[in-house]
Amino acid sequence: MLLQQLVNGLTLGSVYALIALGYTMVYGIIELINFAHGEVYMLGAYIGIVTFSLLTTLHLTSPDSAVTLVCMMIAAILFCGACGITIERLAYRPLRTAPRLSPLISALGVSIFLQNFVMLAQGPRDKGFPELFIQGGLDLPGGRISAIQLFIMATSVLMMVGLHLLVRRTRIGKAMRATAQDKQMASLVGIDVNRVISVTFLIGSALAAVAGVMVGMYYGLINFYIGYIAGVKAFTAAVLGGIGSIPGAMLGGVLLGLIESLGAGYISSEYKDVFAFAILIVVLIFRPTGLLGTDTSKRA
Amino acid sequence: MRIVSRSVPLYRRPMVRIILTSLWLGLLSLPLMIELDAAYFGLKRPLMVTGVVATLGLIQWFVSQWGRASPVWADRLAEAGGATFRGLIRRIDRRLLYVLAFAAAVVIPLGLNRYYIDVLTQVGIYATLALGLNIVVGLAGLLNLGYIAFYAVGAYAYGLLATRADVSFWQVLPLGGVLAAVFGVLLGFPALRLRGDYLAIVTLGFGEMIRIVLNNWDSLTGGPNGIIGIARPSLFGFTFSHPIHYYYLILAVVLLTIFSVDRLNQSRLGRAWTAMRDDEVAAEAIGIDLVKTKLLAFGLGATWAGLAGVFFASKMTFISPESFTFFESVIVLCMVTLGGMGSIPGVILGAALLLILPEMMRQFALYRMLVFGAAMVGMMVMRPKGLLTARRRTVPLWRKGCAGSTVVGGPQATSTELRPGPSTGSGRADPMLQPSKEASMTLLETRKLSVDFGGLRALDMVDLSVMAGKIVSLIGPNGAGKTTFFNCVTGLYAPTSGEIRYRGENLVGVKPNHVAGKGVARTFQNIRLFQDMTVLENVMVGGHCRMHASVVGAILRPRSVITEEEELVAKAAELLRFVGLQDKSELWASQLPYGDQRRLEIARAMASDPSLLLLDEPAAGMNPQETNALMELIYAIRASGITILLIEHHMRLVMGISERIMVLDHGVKIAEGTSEEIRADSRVIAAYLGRESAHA
Repeated sequence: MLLQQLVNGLTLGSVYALIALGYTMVYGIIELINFAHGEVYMLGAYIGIVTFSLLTTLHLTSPDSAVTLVCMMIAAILFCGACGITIERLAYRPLRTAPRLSPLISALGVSIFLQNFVMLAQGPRDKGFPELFIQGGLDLPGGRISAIQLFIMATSVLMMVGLHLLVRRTRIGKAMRATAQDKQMASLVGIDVNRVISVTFLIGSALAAVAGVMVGMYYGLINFYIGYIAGVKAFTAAVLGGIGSIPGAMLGGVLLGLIESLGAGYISSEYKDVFAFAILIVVLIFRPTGLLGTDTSKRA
Repeated sequence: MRIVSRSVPLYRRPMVRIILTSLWLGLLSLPLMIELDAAYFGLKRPLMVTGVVATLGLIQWFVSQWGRASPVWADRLAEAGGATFRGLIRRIDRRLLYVLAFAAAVVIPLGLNRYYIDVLTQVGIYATLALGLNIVVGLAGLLNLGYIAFYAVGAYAYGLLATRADVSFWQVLPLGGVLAAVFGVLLGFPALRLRGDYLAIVTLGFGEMIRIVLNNWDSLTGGPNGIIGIARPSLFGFTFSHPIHYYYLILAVVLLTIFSVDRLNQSRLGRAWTAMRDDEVAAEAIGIDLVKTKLLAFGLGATWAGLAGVFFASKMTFISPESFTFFESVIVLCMVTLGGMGSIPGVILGAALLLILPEMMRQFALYRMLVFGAAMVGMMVMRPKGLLTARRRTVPLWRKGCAGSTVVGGPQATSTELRPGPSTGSGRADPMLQPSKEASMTLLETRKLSVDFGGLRALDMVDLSVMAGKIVSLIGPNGAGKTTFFNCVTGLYAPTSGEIRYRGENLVGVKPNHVAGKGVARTFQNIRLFQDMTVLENVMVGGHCRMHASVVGAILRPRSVITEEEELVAKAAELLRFVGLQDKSELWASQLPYGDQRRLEIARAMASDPSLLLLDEPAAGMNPQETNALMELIYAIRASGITILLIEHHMRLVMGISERIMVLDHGVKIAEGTSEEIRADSRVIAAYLGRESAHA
């Protein structure tokens, strides 16, 4: 029972972490809560289905080959990346010097727009996600790890390691870190801040896209409103870990997943979200900047 | 014009940009149009693509028109429209305008059918909600994404009490408000230590928690089915049943809300909210209790949501958790932001627009929310500050006589405390102003004061004392720990060890606002004025900690509160005259030149009636004339009985006016004495110029 809940929690947590990374990176650079980020994740899941049906109806690949899955992922990444950049260009960039609340409202507008767009385009009903080749699982003494769960955890870890290397070891990563610390100074030393922001949105959206496809596979059903709740959870995870901090988002995501799944398993599944938020509030009371966040409060 | 436009590359021209953007968005939306197992692949699809692209293209067009490539005609149109509108408002007396608006609100619904009356009633409910949220978001600058939870509290309070205990609407109405306020304060507590975006998620989480509890606590709330058969309100045997009855009821609630919110905004509390929104550190340093001010904002904001909730439950006679989703919070937040944060007419306009426009779009049914989302983005991009921007009134306007005389700032000296400032004469020579009687007393004293920042020791065992009635300077090279010393005394930093005593009372661990309350005021090295306030209001907010008006007092405005405000206005005007800013009281603080901003900060600090004034580099960036005027001003301040401790690099000023000088270097006090002694001290010279020069 405990092991099973831990496995479920870790699976859920790694998905939250992937989405939370998008929130935290964008926040780190332009201090905006990108409420449309959850919708980007939802778009990723839908693009996964669309790609699958295209490939299989046109008999390009067989439904249970790995190629199909890779194509779905790539299509989702490309599409969501493009969406992320477009959203930033149209809805956030004109508001960069506006009062703090304006881009937030704009983000909520984008979120409402995308939800309704997908509802109109793909219909309001649940959509079944295709069963892919990843089947079976491992039976352990205290529970069972399905192959999909393993796949999700492995992919998430891989993506996070990749992101870490990108941010720490590459030129663009260095530019991102510099921009996050001081936009103006970064532009003075020759960093194209707009490009860095676009790249940040691209990366964040790509991670969300991967999360979308994986969650679709995991639950087997998707809907146009999955973005909202996943977005809220991932944002909670990002804040829990310390918003703006990349390792914080990973830690926050995994913790939140575990809290939820243990809470649902041992206490009450109806109230699992209440636990998640309650723990967030308690953590913030004692550590106002989250678990791994740095204190940026300005004093005289 | 033609030549200019020809030099613009093709892809940068507005028309081309619009077409390209539209094409790109169309392309982007294509993949989502593919649905191979679709049952309803019909005409809808292509229509939709066109619709979406057109909507977004249109937005992009507006953006390009209003933003980068704003054409002359658009500017002219906006200007002419604005001027006409403003002219119209100015010509009609404000009060007449309000009476007309009120008359329209009373009369118009009589000619409408039930459906439209219902829509207007909705507008009323949401206007109440939005005005309440405006206190939190617009005035106090705190983000709240779970505001609808308070609405739910009010609604369920009435729903439960009416169905289970048969309590009447009129009894629950105030109770619902109070209950919501209690929840508001509860939410406020964890929110106290958080800023900006952390607050966003905590409030969002709070809203969700309330909704989840309502949804799952079946035995109490009826779970997802909600509560049905809630009694309608009745009064003296008359039951509210027709929509118009509810309309007039909510109209009364809205009027009450407008009245209260307006009065709160004009009060001591309103000033404190604005100050806190602008700069929390400065607000706390002049004596505003941030905890109390924030909790009051949360509590008072929630009250209106509670009232609206009680009304909502009584009107619908049915409530369920579905009415209290995050989306509702977003809508209310949009009303506040769209209409113009902080502006009461703006917020009401926002509520009306966001409810009436979707009603008008009903024929587009499915596409309504799509357009709504896009419109939200478009509106924000076009007018990031909302439709009607709020500007605080310069002076409380409820008493014309009082307002008129002070704004003009004539020579009528009402206050007896202070005499003409240095610009008009010599305050120093005035016989009325004797230095403090406690002249020989030690006012401020530190013993072995040390502050560590990580491994850095910013202050090291500093012993320092300031005698009452003196002008004392604290000098030292950059990074010597001078400002750190000020921050310790004023409670911004907690010292690592050591004692700080003011009039023999301990100051270690005392919060900045209480330090200000005890009579220690300060200015900041990097000027921290409240940019969203006028010059006069900046000074008035300085008097915050000497005033007593409560929330109820601010709304009901008894005689005592009016007198208090009048005295404050007079005092502020007097202080402005004292520092020589009497002609600028109506300007925005940000409009003042640098030297004036420094002097305004001094006036603001003096408004809290300090006995000890800490000035942090008051002469920084001043020219010689301004510096001379500043010296005069400092003498005049001391002559009015205030002891002065100042940090300054301007040696002519320091040596000229200081009766005692203390020198800090690398956190250690290296010398203390009169200007002659300091000038001759070899350690001081070494600290400033290096060891070689000291021996030379």
